[in-house]
Amino acid sequence: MSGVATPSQERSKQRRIDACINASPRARLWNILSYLSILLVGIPFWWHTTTIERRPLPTGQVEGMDFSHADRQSIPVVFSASPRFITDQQERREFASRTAGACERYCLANQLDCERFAWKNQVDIEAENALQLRFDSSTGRAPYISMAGQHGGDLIIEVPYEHAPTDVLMDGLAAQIYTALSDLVPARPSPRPARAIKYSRRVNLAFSLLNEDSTLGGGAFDWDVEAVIARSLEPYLAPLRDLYDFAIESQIVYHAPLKSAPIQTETDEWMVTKEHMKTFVNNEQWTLDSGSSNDPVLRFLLFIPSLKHSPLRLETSDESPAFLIPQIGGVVIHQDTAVENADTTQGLPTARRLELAELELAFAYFASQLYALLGVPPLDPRYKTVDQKDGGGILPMTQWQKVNLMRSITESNLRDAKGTLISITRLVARIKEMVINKEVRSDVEGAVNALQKLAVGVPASAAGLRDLFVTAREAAQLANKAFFNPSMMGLLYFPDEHKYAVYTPLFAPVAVPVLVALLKEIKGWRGRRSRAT
Amino acid sequence: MWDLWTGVQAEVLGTSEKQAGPWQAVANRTSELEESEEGRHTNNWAVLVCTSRYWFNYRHMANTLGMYRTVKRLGIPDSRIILMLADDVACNPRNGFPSTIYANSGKQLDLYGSGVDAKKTGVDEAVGVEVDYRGYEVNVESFLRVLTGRYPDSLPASKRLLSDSSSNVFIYMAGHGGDEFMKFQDNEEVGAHDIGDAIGQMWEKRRYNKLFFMTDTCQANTLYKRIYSPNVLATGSSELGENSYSHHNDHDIGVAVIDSYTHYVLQYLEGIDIGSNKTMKDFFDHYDPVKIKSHPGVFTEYFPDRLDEVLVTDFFGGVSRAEGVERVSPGHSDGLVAVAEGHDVRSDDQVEISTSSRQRPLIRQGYLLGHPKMTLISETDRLGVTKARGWREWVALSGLVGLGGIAWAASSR
Repeated sequence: MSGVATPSQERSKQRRIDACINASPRARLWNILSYLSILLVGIPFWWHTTTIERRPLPTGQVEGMDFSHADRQSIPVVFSASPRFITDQQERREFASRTAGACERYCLANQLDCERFAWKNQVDIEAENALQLRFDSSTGRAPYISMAGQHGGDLIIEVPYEHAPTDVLMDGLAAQIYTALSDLVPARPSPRPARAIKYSRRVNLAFSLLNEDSTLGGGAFDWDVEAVIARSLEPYLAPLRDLYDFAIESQIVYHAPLKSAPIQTETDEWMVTKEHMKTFVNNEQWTLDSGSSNDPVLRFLLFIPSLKHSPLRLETSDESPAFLIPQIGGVVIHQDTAVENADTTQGLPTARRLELAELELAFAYFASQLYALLGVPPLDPRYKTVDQKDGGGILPMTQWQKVNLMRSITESNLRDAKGTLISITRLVARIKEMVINKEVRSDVEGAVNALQKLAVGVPASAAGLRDLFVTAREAAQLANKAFFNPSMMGLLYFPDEHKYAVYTPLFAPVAVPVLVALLKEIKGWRGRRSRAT
Repeated sequence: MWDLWTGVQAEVLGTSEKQAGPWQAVANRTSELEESEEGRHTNNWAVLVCTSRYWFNYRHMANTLGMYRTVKRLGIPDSRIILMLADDVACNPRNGFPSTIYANSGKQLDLYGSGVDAKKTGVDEAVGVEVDYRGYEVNVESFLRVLTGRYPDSLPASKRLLSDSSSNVFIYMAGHGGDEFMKFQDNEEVGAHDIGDAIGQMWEKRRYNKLFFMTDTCQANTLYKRIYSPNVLATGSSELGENSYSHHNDHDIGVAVIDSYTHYVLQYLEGIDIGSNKTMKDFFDHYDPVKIKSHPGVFTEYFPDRLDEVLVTDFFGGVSRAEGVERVSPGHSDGLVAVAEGHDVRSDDQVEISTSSRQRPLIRQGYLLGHPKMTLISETDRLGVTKARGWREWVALSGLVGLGGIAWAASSR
């Protein structure tokens, strides 16, 4: 090949270069449009990937929901009469159904709020959670509930007249029954006490045996905790089993020093003052442990003072060796006569095992602390009697208390569920960056459905209160699950200026040449058109 | 003193007034739901966050640990303190005093609790530090998750803020920040909006009774501007456009050891013990902008109580109650069931009892007598003042580029 090109070669090369640089208007247009089309194709992707997932929530009707009738959920009240009062079985039944009828009439006639009671007589099937009302022959007592005996827990109404009372007398009896029932089961469930933990189905009970200083001797290295729980605590847990799942743990600590030393009294005793009672639980140095779970833990601490601080008393009004820490647990100081009376000249008492009998007092305290911490309402003292003439053990809890407990938990769960759903709605409206995914939506739906069921009203049945309790619990659980869903907090707030700051440097350098080229094409096209005409 | 920051307050009031409407209604509605013991708190929680890492931010670690030590001394147990700390200075290779963190040049008090003082003085001062979120766990997401309670299921209880409607919550943050943001470990930012929203969500779920939000950073007062929830009291170390300076250096350690604002706050708190009746008004009154070298602000817009009726220990201390239990009979001999005469807890038996730990004279000495040389003020806090370029500037810039392009296109033909 020669190095010198001919003029024709030169020209064709020039044309090729020309065509390359100044492409035909058509080719240039395609070129520009291809850039724009990429932008256009990209927009849906960009839109899709930057959109926050916000599914609609069915919470519109929650605000107006009214659960006041849930308080009126009927609780079966079973009427029966004692054979001591009426010997003939047929007459007994008749009397029970007549009084049930009289009560119903009495409520209607006086327009009293009796919807929460379903009057039943003994012939009906034994209803779960039923309140027992029993007529007995008169001994001159006001209506009462015995905590012991064969009919422990029944409301006993003594009837001062014989078999065939007149309607007027029946009215008087109905009034008496109504007063007693509304005292025992108030129309509005009482609010949960401040010391009680929030209701949770699963509760851990952690029992710890703490030796202040076992190196001084006299400590307890073991305890018969299983036996004492089975004997002293189990009867208290049993009636609560359908409301709570309890998990029980125990722990022994050999060295649990006090943060502030107790005060020595004149009688050579040691005293923990009121001021020091809260600091008593030394969170820093006591290794109070419990299994890994996120369920609430109630701690029950049996504290064995060291020989140096023995005997140890608490500055309580009734000199009881126990106190309660709201929402946390209870403390009992072990009262050990063996150590207190030990003759130290004979050498230090050796470490030993605490047997059942030594633990029963402490666990009786723990049981009552547990009830206080769970918010079990006490029985109205005007009606409570402890009467052991019939024999039999004393009841840990009556049906009346359980009904009231279920009612107050249900009420607080309904309030919690409704409040949480309203909160979610309000937050979602306020915080535009909040993600609402499928999971949250289905939880909210579940909670709303459960609440709707209650707002419409469950038909009064034998298990009505229980149904209500379970549904309200479910609603509260789902609403809380939705509120605390980890995905609800996916994105941070970005001010608009940050968005401009991100997009402008990204798109401006690309957009400017493309747009300018487009302008040039339009200009050229218009020029060609005007030349053509 | 008081009037020094009322101006700030008024300004904040103006910006947030428009948001007050619906929330007032909410507050009214919820108040009737409150239990009988309204306004009382039964427990205290503290969330202490150091948002910095690296050796040269030594003082932020010292700030946070100083606060940690103080709330612990005043009785908040470790289980109720969420401590978020990069924790990379105590054992940093550059630390000439390994495993220690001091908040003053005299090095009297080791905040990392190695017990050095105990050996010298015979007093057992070894306390230890329980860090809940360490290193890279300290990030915006985990901080906001702690506040809002939205955790993954697997998170252990010790890392959770389990406060409820009867808890007073104290939030302290130290680090670098700017106008309405706070940097987390030179990596990300949390904005005033995010903090406001997080607190709003806490209120919606009643995760606090009263909340006290305190920040020590540049332009800290801007951080509480977006808070809109009831029962929140907030304070910050410096105004918009103002830096927060460190207080003094230690020449052996080689860096600044504490920030000015936190230094004076801690110094004041050293004079408080759990039984103290000093109020938040006293606390805010002690702010001295001349000494602190910035103008601390106080935000009371949504705080319902008078400051002279709120105790300092309501937020910095752990107050709790113990109640007596009515005597129960022991399990009796006939062996059927255990006997309870009742479990009623008498209300007249309730005792208001404060948690207080043993007096720690050493700390007091540390803050009252410590740092004899206070002359060195280093301005090491410059990092925090960078401000995002406003969007208007960006729009103007891109507009200029566009115009230039069009002009060029027009002239080329």
